[in-house]
Amino acid sequence: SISWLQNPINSLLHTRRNFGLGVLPDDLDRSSESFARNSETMDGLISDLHSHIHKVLAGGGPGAVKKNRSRNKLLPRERIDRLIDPGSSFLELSQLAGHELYDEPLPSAGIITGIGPVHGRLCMFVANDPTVKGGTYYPITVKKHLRAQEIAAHCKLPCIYLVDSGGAFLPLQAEVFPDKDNFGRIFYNQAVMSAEGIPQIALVLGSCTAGGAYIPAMADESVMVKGNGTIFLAGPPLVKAATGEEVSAEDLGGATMHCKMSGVSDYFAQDELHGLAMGRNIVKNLHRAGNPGVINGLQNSISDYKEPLYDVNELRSIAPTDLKQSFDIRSIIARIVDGSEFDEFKKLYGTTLVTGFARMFGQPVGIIGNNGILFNESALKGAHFIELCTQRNIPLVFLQNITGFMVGSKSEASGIAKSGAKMVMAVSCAKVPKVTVIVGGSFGAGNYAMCGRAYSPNFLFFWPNARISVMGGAQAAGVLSQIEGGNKKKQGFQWTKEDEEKFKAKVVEAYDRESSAYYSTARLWDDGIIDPADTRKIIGFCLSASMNRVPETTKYGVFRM
Amino acid sequence: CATPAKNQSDRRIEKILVANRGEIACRIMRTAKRLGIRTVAVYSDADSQSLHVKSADEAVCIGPPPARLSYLNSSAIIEAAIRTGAQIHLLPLNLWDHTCFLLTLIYGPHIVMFDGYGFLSESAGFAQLCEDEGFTFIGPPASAIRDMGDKSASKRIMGAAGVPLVPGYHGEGQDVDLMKSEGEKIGYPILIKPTHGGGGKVFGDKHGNIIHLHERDCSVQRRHQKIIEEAPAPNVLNDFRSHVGQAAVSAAKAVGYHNAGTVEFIVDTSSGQFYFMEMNTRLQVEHPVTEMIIGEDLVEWQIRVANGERLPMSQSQVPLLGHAFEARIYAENVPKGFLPATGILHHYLPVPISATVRVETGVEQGDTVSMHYDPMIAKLVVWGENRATALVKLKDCLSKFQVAGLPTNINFLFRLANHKAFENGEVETHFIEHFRDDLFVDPSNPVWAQKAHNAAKFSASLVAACICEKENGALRERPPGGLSVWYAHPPFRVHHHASRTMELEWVNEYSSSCSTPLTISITYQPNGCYFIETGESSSPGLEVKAAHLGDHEFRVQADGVSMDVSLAVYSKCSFPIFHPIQMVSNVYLYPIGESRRTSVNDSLNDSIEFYMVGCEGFERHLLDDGKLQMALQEGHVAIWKNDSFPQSYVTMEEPIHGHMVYYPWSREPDLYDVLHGTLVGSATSGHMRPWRNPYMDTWCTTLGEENHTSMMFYIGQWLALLPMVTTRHLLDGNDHIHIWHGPHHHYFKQKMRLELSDDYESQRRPTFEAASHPPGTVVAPMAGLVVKVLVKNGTRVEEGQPILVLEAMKMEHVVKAPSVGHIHGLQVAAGQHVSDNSALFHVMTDCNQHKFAEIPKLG
Repeated sequence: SISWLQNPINSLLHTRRNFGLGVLPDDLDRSSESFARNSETMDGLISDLHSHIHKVLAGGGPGAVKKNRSRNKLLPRERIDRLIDPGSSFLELSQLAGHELYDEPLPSAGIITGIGPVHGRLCMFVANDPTVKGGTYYPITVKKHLRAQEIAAHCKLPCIYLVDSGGAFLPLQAEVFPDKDNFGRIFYNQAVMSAEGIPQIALVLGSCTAGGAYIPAMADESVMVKGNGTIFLAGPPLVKAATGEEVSAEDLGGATMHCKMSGVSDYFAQDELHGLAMGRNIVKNLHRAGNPGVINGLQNSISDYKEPLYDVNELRSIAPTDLKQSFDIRSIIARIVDGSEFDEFKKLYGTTLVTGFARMFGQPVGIIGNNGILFNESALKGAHFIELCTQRNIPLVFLQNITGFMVGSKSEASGIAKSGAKMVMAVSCAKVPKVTVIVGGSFGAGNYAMCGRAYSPNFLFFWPNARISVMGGAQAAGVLSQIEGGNKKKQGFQWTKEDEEKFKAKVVEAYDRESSAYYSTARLWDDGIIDPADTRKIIGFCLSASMNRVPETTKYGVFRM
Repeated sequence: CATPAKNQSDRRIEKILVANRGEIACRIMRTAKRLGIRTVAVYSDADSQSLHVKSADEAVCIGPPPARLSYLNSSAIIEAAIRTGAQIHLLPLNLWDHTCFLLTLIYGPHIVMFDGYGFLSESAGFAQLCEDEGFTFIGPPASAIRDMGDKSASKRIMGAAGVPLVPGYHGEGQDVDLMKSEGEKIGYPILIKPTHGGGGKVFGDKHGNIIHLHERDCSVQRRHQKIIEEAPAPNVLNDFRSHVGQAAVSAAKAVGYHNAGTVEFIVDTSSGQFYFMEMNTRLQVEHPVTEMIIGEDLVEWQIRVANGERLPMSQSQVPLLGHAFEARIYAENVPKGFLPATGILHHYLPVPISATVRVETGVEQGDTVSMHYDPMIAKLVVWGENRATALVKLKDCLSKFQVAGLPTNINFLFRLANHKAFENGEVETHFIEHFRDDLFVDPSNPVWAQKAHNAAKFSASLVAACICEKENGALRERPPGGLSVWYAHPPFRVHHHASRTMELEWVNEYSSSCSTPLTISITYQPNGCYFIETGESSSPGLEVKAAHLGDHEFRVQADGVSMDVSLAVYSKCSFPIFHPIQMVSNVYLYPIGESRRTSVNDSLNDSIEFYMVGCEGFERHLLDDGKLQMALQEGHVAIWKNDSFPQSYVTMEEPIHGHMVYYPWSREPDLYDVLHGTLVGSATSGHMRPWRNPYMDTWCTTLGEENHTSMMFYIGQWLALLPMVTTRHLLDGNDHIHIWHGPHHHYFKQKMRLELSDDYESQRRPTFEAASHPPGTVVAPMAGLVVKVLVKNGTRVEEGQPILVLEAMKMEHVVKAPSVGHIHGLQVAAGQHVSDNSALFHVMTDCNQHKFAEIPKLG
């Protein structure tokens, strides 16, 4: 009818359909009860999230911030703001790492990490926050530092370390110092990345004591700020204790000494702003010799991409806050891909897994999203689609909302384990950039097949409503109470219905707590909790950062047929 | 002597030499072009890139920057006329007043005239010179000029012609002398109070017709120079107007006048009497206001009169249409008593011209307003149906007239035009003094200071928004590294808004001594707006939306009000640094012994004995005309000996034995960093300071223009010219930001991102200063042999100046002064061995001097 055509979106869709292109329809029921409920719950979750963020953005508190300012030092995020190109974006990672992890708050784990452009070149920033416990390294601080280096190594991003740290947090030295992925790994990574030609740049803006001294020392180039920057293996108190020598921090390891005498630092900065400017200059002078294949940023990108047809803010209302509710993952895809155009692969086969091609900011992507439990066919379809994308060097975006693989005799008999293994094999070996966003549940082996943390996606983010655990709390409670009941009975104890309910409630409560996005992000099981409305942008940043390297050829292992 | 040629009617002016510079030259050329008359410009070395040179069909260089060696050098101008084969020459001579004299050559009889101001004595000589070449003057007859130039003579003649004179004034020699010494044009108001200065234009042709073109009011003056003129004069009745006009005509007839001139009267406002003051025998600076109200081109009239035509209209046909204002925009420092200012016009955007708005300008963006000439930048002329409408237009145009790079009087003119008394037409010569308190703001007044501070903060907010918006546009257009997703607007932050801090320095026009730092915090809003807070937390933030319309123009919405904003951002990077081209074959060597020794007289009658070295052909230049400037073509060098040579030339010391180096290309302050990247000296405007090159053991200097520079130095008995490449250096580490919105104009400085300014300070000072020695002590950087000692004890040295040269490990090391001061305790001599870390000398600075006094044994 005429009125139908008058709706601009419908008329556009009409045209699109006539041309047979895969523009996703707007099938969101905005008047539904679930839409309203989701919106309301999500608004609450986001305002909670923002209040947590607000706290960590304030760093170590007004006193420490004031003290920092009195030394003519900026806060770490301000430092980064001055290093990246003016007017450019910054993708901060794991803002809530360390959240409620220790007895006392450790905002952002005392270290700010993230990606931003300097003179048009993406860099990984690792900035100690001296206002948080003097910038010392807690175990989670080390983990966050190492994660940033892992991303940098994976994406070949130059690393800029903004050093202002008292070194390892001594009370927890056992969890900071000795293990493989502990403090020492930082310098190992520096060495290995430098060997691979990934520039390592250190700006010494504050103290840099003990092990920390190796960050600038291991760097390709380092800048030191007069007055504030100090590098020494042992500070004045320790020197006095060890040798009796009395010496000031500046004379022992100040910028003048290190730039003029020891050669530990290369650039002498008059003040912090000068030092930051020198950092920018170092990046300006980097050269990508011998890397002709590398295109900085998105590959195959077209510059005039279209925004999605539908409002990205509606993602907040789509996200299910009750994970038992099902929803069509395409309504999310429609709000994150260019022009809401999605060309679906095997649309009619294995329908609980949605696969297809789209573009994001002009960059072709393969999207894999869950529309229910994974069956045999869904897993096979997923493996097939991943093979397509790796052959064509198309990055993969996983939208996880998965309760797991189908269980039961029929499923087992039809070889669900074998099918699942195929998809897990494909995901594991795929060398194209992978970005995972957990938009709902992430349970069991579904997490593996959908490129969970263990499958080394380049980036992995949580929506605030998302949940992660090996299985649902109720299921776990059921399983555990059966086992517990059996054991009790074996030992001759009573196992009443009441006992069972109590036990189950405890398990459910623990699962609830431990499966929350906050629990995950505090422990760095992800790279951050994101606002659903920012999903498109953030995936865009991640793809851009991931495409910063020469494509690798994918080689698969043995597929069990 | 004012006899028009009989055959002039078939001899038409075809080519004019305009012997002036700046806007007046451009003005004449514009009319000439319209009439199909070809134009020749003359220019000094300082003006080689000026607008008037570019506007002319041909241009001739007539000498070095000082006016008396170029624009007032009559023989050079005649020379230029001969060279260009111009039939007709316009010759204005009083440069400082922008007097426009028109000199014509019509084959046959000729008239040569001179202005009365200071050059009258020379006119006879010049007249003779012109006569020999066959020139005629476009302008009034000689006798008229001479008579009017002589104040007391003019009064006598006027008295005889029945023109009212100031009672008790003329004939009193003492007074006349006093007036002459005070400033020729307007020195008289002291005699009658209250007074009005007024001028009536008269126009006469060679047929004895004289008409007057109504009066102008030129009362508003500062430093005895007019700044706002208007025509007709306000509050003047028609009766009075025709009276004055008739008196002016009588005055002109009395001296046998033809061509354009201005008769100045002073008016006693209490009695309504008017008195003759002086007659300016030229087209004056403010002639456009007359043109606007009669709708005619007076330069065209001048040319037509010179062609022997009759005046195009009779007295009764002279219309009086509406009202016109002229405001003179000067480069000057208003709070410092209107002191002339110099500098570069980094941004220059006059208001667009229209039928009712004229802008007479002789400069372009990028031009330098130098100390050599009048600091006038432009004349803004507006016309309206009546005085009130013209004034509205004037205010609007003043607020939109954009000049940046040097201080101007625009804001002052704007305040003047807005003054109630001015609006009421109560203009008089003491206007500025009378209303001093209204026109000049007292920066120490707390009420005003607060108001000004708030206005500056608001402007700073707009500046911040515009700069961010412009940057977005640039990033969108060309995202660095092709990373468009990272440069989308607004910049993304995870769970918070991106913000940035901008540190601006507000340069207050009225208290130039101090500039006020303003910290602007900008938060990018998701809707693309900027939330801007300025400093104090007490003041509420401002949400600003900005759209970049292109170039300097923005449309900004702040606080619910949308407005046009213009923004000019520039950096001062005018330091040329010269680097030698490293090709030996490019070095030109000239034997000094064979260079010519000669002497000439310059226009000052100073005998100058000088040596010329240069390439082939210089002699011809030298001998043909005997003029110095002719000899100094590009690639030529003259070295001459003269103690009284003008100070703008610099002595080249020792090796040239007190000879002087003529540097014909005066430019901005220069830094000379030649050979081996050593900073060796600096020079101020127009000066070339020679520097000692320690590597070559010779004194050097540089010659030439940017991009065409040579370094000159001696090698034995040879003078070498080494071609060099030039790079520019930032003059200061600031971005200079000007904003115009509504009637406001603010000037801010912003420190550049430091990456642009190198950390010279920290890298440049290899001081070798050791902690164990007193401050100022310089020690040997390594053990070695002293090869050369370049200074003596007690010598005052600049920071970084080479003091001695050490040789060690087959390399020479230059030891430099760590700071400015006097050399003290220098005991080493050439050939002496010094050990590592031994004290070589001390530099006594003002601050460590007393410390040395306490340590008598040192050195």
